[in-house]
Amino acid sequence: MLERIYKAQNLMDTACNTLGRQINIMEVCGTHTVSIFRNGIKSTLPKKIKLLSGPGCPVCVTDQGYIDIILQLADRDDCLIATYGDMIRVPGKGGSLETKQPNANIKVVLSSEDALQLAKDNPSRKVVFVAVGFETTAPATAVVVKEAAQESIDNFCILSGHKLVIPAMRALVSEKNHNIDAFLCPGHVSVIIGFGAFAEIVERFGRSCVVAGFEPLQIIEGLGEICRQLAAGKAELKSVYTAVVTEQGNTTAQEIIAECFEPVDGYWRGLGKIEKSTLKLKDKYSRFDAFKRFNITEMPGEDMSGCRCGEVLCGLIEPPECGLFGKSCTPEEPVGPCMVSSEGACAAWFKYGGVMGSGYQEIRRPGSQ
Amino acid sequence: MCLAIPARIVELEGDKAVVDAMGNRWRAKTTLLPEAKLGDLILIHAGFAISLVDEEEAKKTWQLIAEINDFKDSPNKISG
Repeated sequence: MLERIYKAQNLMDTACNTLGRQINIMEVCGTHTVSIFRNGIKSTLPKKIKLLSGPGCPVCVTDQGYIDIILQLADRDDCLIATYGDMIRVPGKGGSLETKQPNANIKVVLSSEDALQLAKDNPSRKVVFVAVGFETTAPATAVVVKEAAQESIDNFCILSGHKLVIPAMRALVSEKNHNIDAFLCPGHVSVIIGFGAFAEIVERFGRSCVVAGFEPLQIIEGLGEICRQLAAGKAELKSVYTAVVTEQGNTTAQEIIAECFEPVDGYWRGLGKIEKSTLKLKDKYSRFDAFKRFNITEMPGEDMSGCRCGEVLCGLIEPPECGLFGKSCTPEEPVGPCMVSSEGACAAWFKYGGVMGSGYQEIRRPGSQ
Repeated sequence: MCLAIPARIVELEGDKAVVDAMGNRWRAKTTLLPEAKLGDLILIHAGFAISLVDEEEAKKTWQLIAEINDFKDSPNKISG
């Protein structure tokens, strides 16, 4: 294993020497963020390589406006809110789902199937499923929307906040002053969309896209591959997560997303409105669309005062540069979603302290940079 | 949130499966992976199989999960 790490480190050193400047690599996956911090991967890298945590945590990228809508619906006596556990602690106007929980009707579910079952078990209530997540999670929502239609479970609906990764990456590299040299692409999103989906970012924007899994060696080898390309002056599409990621992805899942949803413009925390980046239910399933059922329009929300999660998500600042970090914003009492989610960059910085972490920090080849 | 857990299909009827990972058993569906068969190792996200996975990869992931001390206490172990 050490040989493989050294090989990746050699590639990184070569890229640093060839480019002679800082190299910025953005990971767009909350699970990568956690693995990078937990395993102390930053300390195995040359000082000139900077890892940026991008918009890869679904809870973090969900706009405040959407959070406030959930909180409003939670106040209605006729509603039952079904949500993944990740969302319950995100603060908004008047608290969070967690602080409302004793008084409101909120159920944590592990699967969209559980949310649909809740609707079947509570026919007199309107069950609203808080449907967040990237392409990995959206197919699970689509399956139950189809089931609800087939079985006429009319007290079920979804508040779709599902987001697409590629439009966000496109938005980041379309900014004039962006500083992203390459992307370490998400593993399980790629299981669904296939690594071929990142071709546009490589071809149109000239940025390397390398898909990696979540174990530390995969991440280090992914970074090594990116550096090999940078040193050669190339931008290529590659997956080092060959165990589960194919070029075309899971076509059954892609088809069911396409059958139920269409991409529309949507709001992201920090990134603002991004063209065709959010999944909305198609007209034939509109009776399961909570926005329509409750006549709600999603508007961009106002971030909590002083919170700089938006800048963190764009890779513009590191968490400790936010004035709230570690002071009024901690994992116990979070202000922003990047501190709420265990996958958020702020939570990872707080827990593992920048470059520290267990595992790989001692593994630096003698004489390396 | 996009974390997916490898598990083995120990019961399968239509698209309804019971899966096992590290001795934990739970229900999952194979709707998104119609080719999945009894005995297959699959990656599961939010209650749905999304991919087949080989033995070596599954073992690596189980090992990683076992290392995360607070994993079982996390409220978002499937979704997150």
